[in-house]
Parts: sequence; C-alpha cells; structure tokens
Amino acid sequence: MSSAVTAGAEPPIDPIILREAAEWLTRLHEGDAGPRDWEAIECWRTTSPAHGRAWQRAEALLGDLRALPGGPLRATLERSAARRRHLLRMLWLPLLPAAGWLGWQQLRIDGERFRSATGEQRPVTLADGTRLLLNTDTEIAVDFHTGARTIRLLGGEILVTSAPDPSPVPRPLRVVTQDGSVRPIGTRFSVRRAHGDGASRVVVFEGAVEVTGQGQRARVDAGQRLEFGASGPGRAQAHAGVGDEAWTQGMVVARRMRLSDLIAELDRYHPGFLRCHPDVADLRISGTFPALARERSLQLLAETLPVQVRQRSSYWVTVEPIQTGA
Amino acid sequence: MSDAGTALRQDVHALYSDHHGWLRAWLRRRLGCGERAADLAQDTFVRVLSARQAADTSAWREPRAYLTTIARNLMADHWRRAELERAYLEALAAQPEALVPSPEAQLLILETLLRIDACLAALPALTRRIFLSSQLDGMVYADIAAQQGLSLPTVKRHMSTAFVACLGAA
Repeated sequence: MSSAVTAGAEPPIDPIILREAAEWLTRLHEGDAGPRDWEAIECWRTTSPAHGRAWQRAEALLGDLRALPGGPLRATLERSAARRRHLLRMLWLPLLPAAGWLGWQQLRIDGERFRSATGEQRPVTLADGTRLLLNTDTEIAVDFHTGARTIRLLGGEILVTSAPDPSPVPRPLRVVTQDGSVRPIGTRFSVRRAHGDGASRVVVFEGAVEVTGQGQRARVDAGQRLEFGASGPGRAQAHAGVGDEAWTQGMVVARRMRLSDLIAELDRYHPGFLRCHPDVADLRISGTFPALARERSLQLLAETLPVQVRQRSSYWVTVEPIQTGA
Repeated sequence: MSDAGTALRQDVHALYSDHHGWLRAWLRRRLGCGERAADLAQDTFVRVLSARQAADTSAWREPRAYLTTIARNLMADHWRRAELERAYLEALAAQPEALVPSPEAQLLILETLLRIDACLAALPALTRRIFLSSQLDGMVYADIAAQQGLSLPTVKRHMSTAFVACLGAA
C-alpha cells in the first residue's frame, strides 16, 4: 500500500517522546494554559529533531480535532464499538499515515523559511490554515512556537488570508517587517516590503488590521492602505481597488501611472535590470500588464506609447524614446 | 527470500481459487448486495496478502474461518464508515451554509474522522467520553471532573491516555 511507503520515509518517533507530547497536549486543554506553557513547549520541542517531529504530529492532531463538528457526530464517536479493537490492531499501520497526515507533510513550516524566485508566485498554506501567496522575489520566515504565530517578511510581498488558530490557547497572528508589525482581525490583506531601503505597505481587502511601528498604532480597514517606515505608520488612505490586488492574479494594473513607476513594478518580476529612459519616465499609461510575462508586457508598452524596447541582453533591457530618422 | 515470496504467492493463489467464490457468496448473503460483496471479498484477499508477512500460517489451516474473520472485520469497518459518514452529513446539515466546507475538504475531514474514530475505538468508554467532552464540547477539565464525579488528576490521566493513543504512541 502506498501509505506504507510514506510510513517508511519517516523515521519512527520514540514512544517516550510521543508520550511527553501527549502530556503537553493534555496541559494545553486544561483550561488555564497560557503563554508560559507555549514557552515551555518551545523549550521541549527544540530539544531534538525527534521532539520537533513529535510536536508537528501533535499540532496536526490539534488541527484534525478542531476540524470535527460536534452535534450528532459526538454521539456517534462516543459509541465507538469495542469489538473494533481487534480490527484496529490490523488497521493500525495503514491508518496512521492517512490523508490528514499526508496533507500535513506539505504544511511543515515551523521556523522555516520560504522563498519565491524572481518571476515566481508561490502559494503556501501554514499549519494553522492561514494561506499565503508569495509574490515575486519574496522571502519569509514563519515561527509558530513563541506564543504567537509570526510571519516575518524579510523582503518582497505577501497576500495573507488569515485563519483562526486551531490550538486551544489561541496565539495571535502577526506579520512583522523591519518597520513594524501588522496584526490581522479576521482578514485578507497584503504586506509589501522592498529588500533593503524603503518602507512597508499594507493593503487590506477584507476585515481590518492593526499596524504597530515606532511606538505608534494605526488601524487599517478593508478598502484602505497604509505606508509605515522609519517615521512610523502614516495615515490610512483608500486603496486603488483592483489595482492593489491585481498581483495576486499575476497582473499589474496601471491607471494613469507614470511609465517609470510601471517599469519599476515590472522589474520586480524578472532577474536582471529593466530600466526606463528619463525622457519617457513621465509618460502616463493605463492598462493591465501580465507581470509574469515580461516580454508580452513590454510589447504592449511599445504598441501603446511612443517608446521602443532595447534589449542589450536578456538581463539588461531599457525602455527608450523611439529614435526617429536614426 | 524470493523463494518465500514465491511460496506465499502460490499459497495465496491456492487460497483465492479454492475459496474466493465461496467467500463472495458468504458476503452477499450478509450484505444483500452483490457488488459490495465482490469489493469486500477482494479487500479480504488484499488484507491476507498484507497481513501474511507477520502472521503465523497456523491460521491458514482453517482457511474459511480465517477468511470470514477478516471479512467480518472489514464489514464492521464498512458499516462504521457509513455510520460516521451519515453522522457527519447530519452535522453539516445543522451548520449555516456559509460554514459548510467544500466537497474536497469534506472528504479530508471524513478521513480524519475515521482515523480519530479508530484511535478512540481502542480506548475505554469513559476515556472516550472525557476526551470528547474536552475536544468536541470544549469543556475544561474542572467542569468534566464535576460532571463525571471524578477528581481532576483522574480526568487529566484519561486525557493523556487518549492523546497518547491519537499520537500513535500506544
């Protein structure tokens, strides 16, 4: 059976360690568990790789249990018949790595880094069900084990569709950049931070977020965007509607955008340099451009504006005024 | 090793040709459905093959008793699955439409449900009840202890036993 192959790939975990994980799970559900318990679990979990794997299994179980609806199901589960014990012994091996476990394999992320290449968009589902979309050239580090669910945006842009924490002691979700942190309130939003210098930007599509930076706080509601950098969060402004979300569909939407801004935007999606000649930088352009297909975007530009695309090499491309009569 | 493998295949082949038709009829009488009986007869032989490596051959001396033991368990599993599926669909029907998961998610939840049910089946009824009170009803241990007339440490012990079983450490 295929499940047996998976079971073989994963080295078995010492039952003593699994029992300790069970003790932690027991503690978490007692009713008065708090952040200190998470700290203690963090200590325990990092003792060895086997402890880490045991805890991954424990967290997967938490997610599984949380997914079960109550009501009529509760009574049916309670009637679980003893005659099945015999059956269970036979089924044990094939059952353990069933769909839930297999699904979990893909979600292993604790403390892990995720990167998308330039020109790539990468969906990631975190252990708690939070869904991310990494835009081009983006790097994040995810840490769920310090009493908070922290997504550190090291550079690039992410779309976050947050999910409630499946653990019995909910840990707050937050997105942290070097400029501050964004705390969602049941929501879908994106955060962008250029690698290196610059500021961070949050755009909220559903729900709301709270931004903290430089000791100041600001709330951003659906339909708004906010920049926050060295001088703390600014004021929330209405966002550009579909334009700010277009990247999640692999598009850049321009509305009377300066050509140099559009070029800078398209540049993010391709390795090498895409530059705009100063003489055409202030031309205005409107349209929808496929961010991930740069050639096509540049062709659209050349068809719409009095510009030409000059390929010095595939890594060095400039958009210049049309040379007439040359 | 390969000799043993060949011998096993011959054994199973003999078992299959001698008893498959009989087993199918036996199952059909109990299930009242020819198609399902054929499926379960097939599953029974698959189980024989996969259980064979570890099992002792003495069980094979009574082939029909051996086959019906496996088939009975598979039938119990089949009915249990149907029962859980029905209960799950009932639970879904009671939820507001916006909260109903997609069909793919439903299938995953059902798999999860079967797995957790299999873990719980090995536990004493009281442990199962305490665990479900905590996990499905969201009760804290102190309340479960009061409701069941047990001490707090006893409730914790039952919870720990259940988690051990679900983590596969039992």
